[in-house]
Amino acid sequence: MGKSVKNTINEVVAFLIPVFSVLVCWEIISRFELVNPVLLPPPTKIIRHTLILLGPADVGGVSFFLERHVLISFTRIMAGYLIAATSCTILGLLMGINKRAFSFFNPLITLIMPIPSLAWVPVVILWLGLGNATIIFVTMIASIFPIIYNSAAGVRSMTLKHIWAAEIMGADRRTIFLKVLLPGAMPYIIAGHKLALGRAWRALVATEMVVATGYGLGYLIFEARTFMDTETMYGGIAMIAVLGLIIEKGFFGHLERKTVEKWGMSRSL
Amino acid sequence: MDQENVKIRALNVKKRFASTPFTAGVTALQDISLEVHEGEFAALIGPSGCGKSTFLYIVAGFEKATAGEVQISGHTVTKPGPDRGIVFQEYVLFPWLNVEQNITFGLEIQNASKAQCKGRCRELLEITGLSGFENNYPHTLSGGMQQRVAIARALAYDPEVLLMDEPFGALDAQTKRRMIADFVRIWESMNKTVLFVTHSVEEALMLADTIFLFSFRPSHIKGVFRIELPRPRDVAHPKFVQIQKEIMYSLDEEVEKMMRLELKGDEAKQK
Repeated sequence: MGKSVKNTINEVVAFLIPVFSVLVCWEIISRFELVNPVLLPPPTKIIRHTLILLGPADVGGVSFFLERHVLISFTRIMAGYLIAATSCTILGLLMGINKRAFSFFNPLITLIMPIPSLAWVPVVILWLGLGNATIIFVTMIASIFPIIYNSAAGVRSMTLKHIWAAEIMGADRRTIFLKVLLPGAMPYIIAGHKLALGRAWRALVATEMVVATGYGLGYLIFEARTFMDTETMYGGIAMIAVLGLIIEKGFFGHLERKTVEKWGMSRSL
Repeated sequence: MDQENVKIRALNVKKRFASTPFTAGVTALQDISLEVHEGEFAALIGPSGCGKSTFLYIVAGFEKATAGEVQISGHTVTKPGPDRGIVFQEYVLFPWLNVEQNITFGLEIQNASKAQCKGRCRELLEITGLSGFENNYPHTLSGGMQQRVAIARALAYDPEVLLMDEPFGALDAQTKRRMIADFVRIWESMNKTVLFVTHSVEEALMLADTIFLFSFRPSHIKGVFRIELPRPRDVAHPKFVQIQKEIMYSLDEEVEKMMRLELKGDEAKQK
């Protein structure tokens, strides 16, 4: 108990040292006006400004201004990612166990995968209009490929001997899938979902900039540029980083400690 | 020995691997016939690449014979099934399950109750010297300990026949000696029919009642040796040394054939 708390503290400190070093340099560069402080405001000012945007103060007619944008962005990314996560994990697993499914879907995926998700934006706008549906759809497109590929690769990572070992103990195909292939594929599946969320974030922010719905972090950053409001722009960018960190360390970190790290299928750093 | 208690019977088993775009076809097993009786410990020995593991996999039901058949207790083998248990050289444990869950995997598939699983698991932990490790995950155990788990897993659901594919081949010399001694004890307490693939003559002599010597491929059974020495066996026993020499000599001829073929292959590549 005491040891794990100590470890966590050590980890946090190790993470913060490089971040702080960069912020301090940035602060100095900005305060001494080595660069134009409007283009690169000092971090302390950005933080103060961001705290105001996060607070109950009235900004542009609403309180908790930044939370509203964050919440909208977060809802959109979750919608797009979750649609992809459920359908594509299943499709990937199917491609992993069924040769025919693999040879049917693989060419399609190979063809579509290299297309940047943003290339779809103009087309999707025509289909779904300038609204949430378009943003969610593009986020979904961005998430699907790592999920499909990793789920399929995960199933294939289990050796024939693992399957044999289960078969000789009397496991039928369903049991082999549920008790051998699926848990065996876990390290790959988790990695796929991590990559997918990272890609979804990028697609989300970019799409929000193009599809200006009036809300969302991408929109906020893009709009702030019009008014040369660089502090809000940096604040928005910082929010993206913080949210990404929470998902990565909080959600996936927890999931990995509970599964692949405990099983020794992935080394903890 | 009478015919009634024949546990494993192979009748003219032949295995030919078809050629693929990358490899030439090869006949691994020419004609293998053998009988292993109930409670007998049989070792298969032969030069590497002679098809002894392939034969074991045919008995397990993982591979299909090109011709001939294998029977377990008079029933023809068509697919893998829980009348057999297997231990691989690479342990092949399930890394996401702890020791106890690995051991009871087969029992759970056969719908054993929780209490049955617990009881049987405790027994096997005791026998294999794993007590206290039931909550460990495989990756936290040494190779020798992992192989003990694999043996316990294969014995847990009480199969009629235990198949072992070079189970101690990946272990270091000391661990291996210890494992062999322990396994003799385990086997004596269970009195199971065992088919054991190895390339170590000493290992076969320490363990087996009967040693089947496979020729180089396309392989047939070149010799059958009955070892009627009491266990635990002494490597320095004159009889042990004498049989060891005999088998070694016969095995070396086959290894020689394998080497010649490999050299020929290399020459062909150089040309």
